[in-house]
Amino acid sequence: MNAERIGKPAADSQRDELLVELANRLAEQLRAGQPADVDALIRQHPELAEDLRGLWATMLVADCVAAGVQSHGGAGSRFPAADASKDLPPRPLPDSFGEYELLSELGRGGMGVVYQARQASLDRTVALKMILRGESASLEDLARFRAEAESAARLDHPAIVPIYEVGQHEGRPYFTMKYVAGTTLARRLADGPLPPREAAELLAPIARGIQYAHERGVLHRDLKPSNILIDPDGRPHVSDFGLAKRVTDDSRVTLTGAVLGTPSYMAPEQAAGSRGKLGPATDVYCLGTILYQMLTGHPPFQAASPMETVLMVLEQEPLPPRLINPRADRELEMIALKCLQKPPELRYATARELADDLDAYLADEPTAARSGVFHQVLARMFRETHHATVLENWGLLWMWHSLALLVICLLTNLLQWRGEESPWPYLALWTAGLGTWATIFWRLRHRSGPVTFIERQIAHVWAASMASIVLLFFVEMILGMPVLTLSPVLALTSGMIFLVKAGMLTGQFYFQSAALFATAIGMAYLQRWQIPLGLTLFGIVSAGCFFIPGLKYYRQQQRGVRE
Amino acid sequence: MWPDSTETQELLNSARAGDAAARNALLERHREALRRMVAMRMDPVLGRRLDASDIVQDVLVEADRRLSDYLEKTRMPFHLWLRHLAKDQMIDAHRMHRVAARRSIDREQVIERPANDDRSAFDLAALLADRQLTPAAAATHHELEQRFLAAIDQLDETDREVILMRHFEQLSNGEVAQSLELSDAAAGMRYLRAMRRLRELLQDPPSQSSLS
Repeated sequence: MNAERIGKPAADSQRDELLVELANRLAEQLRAGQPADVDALIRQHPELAEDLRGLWATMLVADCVAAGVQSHGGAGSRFPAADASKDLPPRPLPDSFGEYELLSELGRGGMGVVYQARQASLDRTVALKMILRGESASLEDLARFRAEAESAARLDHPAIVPIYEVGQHEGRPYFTMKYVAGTTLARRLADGPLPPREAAELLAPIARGIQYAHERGVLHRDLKPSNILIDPDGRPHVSDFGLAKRVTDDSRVTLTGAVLGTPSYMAPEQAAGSRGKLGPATDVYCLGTILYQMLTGHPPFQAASPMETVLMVLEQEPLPPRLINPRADRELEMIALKCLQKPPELRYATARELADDLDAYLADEPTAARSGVFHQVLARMFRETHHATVLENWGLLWMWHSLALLVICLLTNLLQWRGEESPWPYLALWTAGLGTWATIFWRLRHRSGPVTFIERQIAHVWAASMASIVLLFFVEMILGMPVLTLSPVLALTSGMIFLVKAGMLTGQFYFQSAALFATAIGMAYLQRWQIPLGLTLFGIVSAGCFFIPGLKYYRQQQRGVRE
Repeated sequence: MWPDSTETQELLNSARAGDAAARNALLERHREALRRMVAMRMDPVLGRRLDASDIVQDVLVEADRRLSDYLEKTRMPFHLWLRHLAKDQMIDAHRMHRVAARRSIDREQVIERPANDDRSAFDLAALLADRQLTPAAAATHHELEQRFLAAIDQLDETDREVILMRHFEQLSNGEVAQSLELSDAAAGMRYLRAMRRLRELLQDPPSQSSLS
């Protein structure tokens, strides 16, 4: 009792110390504008999962509020009666801002506020977007912001809102673009799904505009319904080209963006924070989320919290649109789902292909999305899950494992040839041999770093198979069967394990599983024909099943280390 | 939110070498960050009588007066030193205006919320996730902010201070520790504790929390 009372707080305080350390690490990443990998931390410390998630959510909310409060000038909103300075949101309008006169506020978001403004010198109405948090941007940030805004400013396409000017005033970076009267797609979709033809007619020119930009090396990276303006004639215009994410790449806005921003419209490669892998297919994915929302009225993934949404984007397949809206068009559904494939190589390779498919749909011609469905299903079945990277930890070990398996099987076969009929030598070989190897394997694995949750699961599957194998000998004994009568079950057990691993790690293991199941049948026939080679066959096949992926992932890891 | 430290360091070096322009630039570039820091912490009643910029002006005058001492004997990073001066200045201001007694009455006004609203702050944050650039999002953001500030107000002094320093001023754990004269470990624990309390407050629908 006493010991418990002393022991528990000690464990609690250790736990808290660890939490503090992790929180500090996350805060550093937030501050540095790096993607904070909360999930990885949770996987490493499953026992802290709940605390860590709670802490992280609170950190994001605090940061989100801090970003907001600071962007509109200190605690102005806190004391509305006292502070009527012109920094207050909403800005008292009309107000002058450099050579512009701000007329009305069009909208605001995590990144900035958009005003309708009048540029007196050129006598034109523009939309002026002020970037929040601009005051903390360094000169270098600003220079990059300008350079990139300028490359976006060179885009000249009817479906892209042209950028007029990029500048800084009152310490705030801003840019002006053509003022498009009308509405946004977000507002249009707030009323529900669009009729199918209208959806295709609206999205096709958007995709063409995106293609045009891609050809000039500019990615949008933040396509979403609120960035698509619709003019009174119903023509779409894409705004914020190449700006949103670039401006914020290294600032903390990206991360507060996890709260303020829209993970619902992020591609998996964006949600995973792998910036280097963004490409035209990323925008294709985002176009898919827009089409999906046109069909169903909702983005494909939407959860109670941004963190959960990010997890869904990474892990789950979207619900087929027709499940949500039975009236959604089947053909468009397939086009949307093709855009929403998680591996970029399974999506339309370019925005043009998407546009072409939409046009084909509108002309009642067959679409590529439909003909590609079978191929997609296959490809999806055999692709790696995001857990597959743990296999890199195992590459070398699996090659050794295949050798250990082969040796044990050959020795068993040798005993059989020598006419050994007592089960005990076999049992000793399999328990001692395999058991020792399993222990060594696990120790070696431990040495190369913390064991992840998924690895624990796999270890359990393996342990189950070892228990089954050892118990087989006893089952044979009790039933009075000659030893090794049930040996084909070895291959069945191994086949089962690979099937489980195929679900957890990579679809390629379906091949291993099938090979092992076939081996079980082969072993049964060999036994029936009284050819004592069953265990050698099993040894070779199962060793191969481990060796081939072992080699592949070992090489992959070596490449990773060198890079 | 505090200005870049490498540039500050260069300016400090120039100031030490007697460059008056560097001296001015050094103080000037911290003005905005100081103003925010002060504004966040100002008592609502005091806030109605005195602008944060007034306090900051006094802080900068004081800093200018004592800058030579600081340059001779640098015991902490420049921005932390300015924070110290600002805190002293704020204590003086509050004392002068004798607002402590009225504070509790005014705080109740801050916490007032529509009675029918039982969403937690986390619900609000989630709401923001999908409605960007719309007036509704702005309103939600405003509500989240009010909710957050009300929660912050209910924390005790040190908890509030740690959260403001970490999230609003973007100070690192080490800087917080130095500024509060604590060990790194103790500052970290204090942050963890504060965040736990904050989370509880944020989860409570405001109608309940205002009763406590």
